[in-house]
Amino acid sequence: MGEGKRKKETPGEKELQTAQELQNVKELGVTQLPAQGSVSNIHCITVIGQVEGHLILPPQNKTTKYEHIIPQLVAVEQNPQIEGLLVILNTVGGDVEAGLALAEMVNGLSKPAVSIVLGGGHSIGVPIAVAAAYSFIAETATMTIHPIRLNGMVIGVPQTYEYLDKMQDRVIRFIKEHSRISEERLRELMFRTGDLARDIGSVLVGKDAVEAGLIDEVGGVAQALSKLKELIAQ
Amino acid sequence: MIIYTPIPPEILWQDKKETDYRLVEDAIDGIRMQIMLLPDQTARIERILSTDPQDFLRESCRPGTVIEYRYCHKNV
Repeated sequence: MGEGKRKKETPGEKELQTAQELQNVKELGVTQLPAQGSVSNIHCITVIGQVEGHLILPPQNKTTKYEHIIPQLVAVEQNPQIEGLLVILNTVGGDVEAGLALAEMVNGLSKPAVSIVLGGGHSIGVPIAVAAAYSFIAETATMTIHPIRLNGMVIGVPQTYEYLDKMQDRVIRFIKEHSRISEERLRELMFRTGDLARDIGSVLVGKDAVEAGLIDEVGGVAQALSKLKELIAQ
Repeated sequence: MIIYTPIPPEILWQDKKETDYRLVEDAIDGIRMQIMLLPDQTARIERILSTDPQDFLRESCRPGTVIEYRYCHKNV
């Protein structure tokens, strides 16, 4: 974190520092305060629980709100001190539009982004994971690929199916364009029967996601950070 | 709106009425966070909404810490 960039202390500065410490003890009871204005060159965004979009979910759901994440991504893009973004996912999916918006934002950053799926990166978490320049998945993490479904009132007309199909295609297209998976393979995983008890679709655990071509590598936070540093250096 | 999740909709949308806690967002020490309002003008830090990993190392804003928090009704 910019250790080398820091200036060497001169004796005068040291005195000043001691005076500051004294002041801190007097005012706040501690000698050291977190350095003000210092910014880590790698920032991270954690997507946990449900991705919450246009509707507020009932309060028992843990959510990541798009109104929090989108401005944060803008800030990451804008701040010259931030050089890379780590996207940490442990999500059960959520709002399609909010999820795709986040995925597009991550993808549209001029700074390198690396994603890591820990625990789970299900449903709309998949496009967010693949949106980064390079993606990792923890060995035990899972990704559920399944078709989207409609909530609320459903009118039984062909247009409903067409609409649903169109929404489905948005997700499929994004995943296909930002990972190594082919559309056929993705559709096959999505509409597979017998894998999930309550739904159709499939569950990919760790290396299965890598073998399917969704995720680039199995790894942990250390690998993700070193990859990010490598991308920053390029 | 379409919710794309393996969580069954009946679990997702069930509205537990017993949630009597109030989560509010505010910037404390310059860091945006979600806090739960407690009695006697105090609040507990629930979640830090920051992208800077260093913010999560600050002792003063560790999640679970109960802080003094004066609020008026318009904040809530």
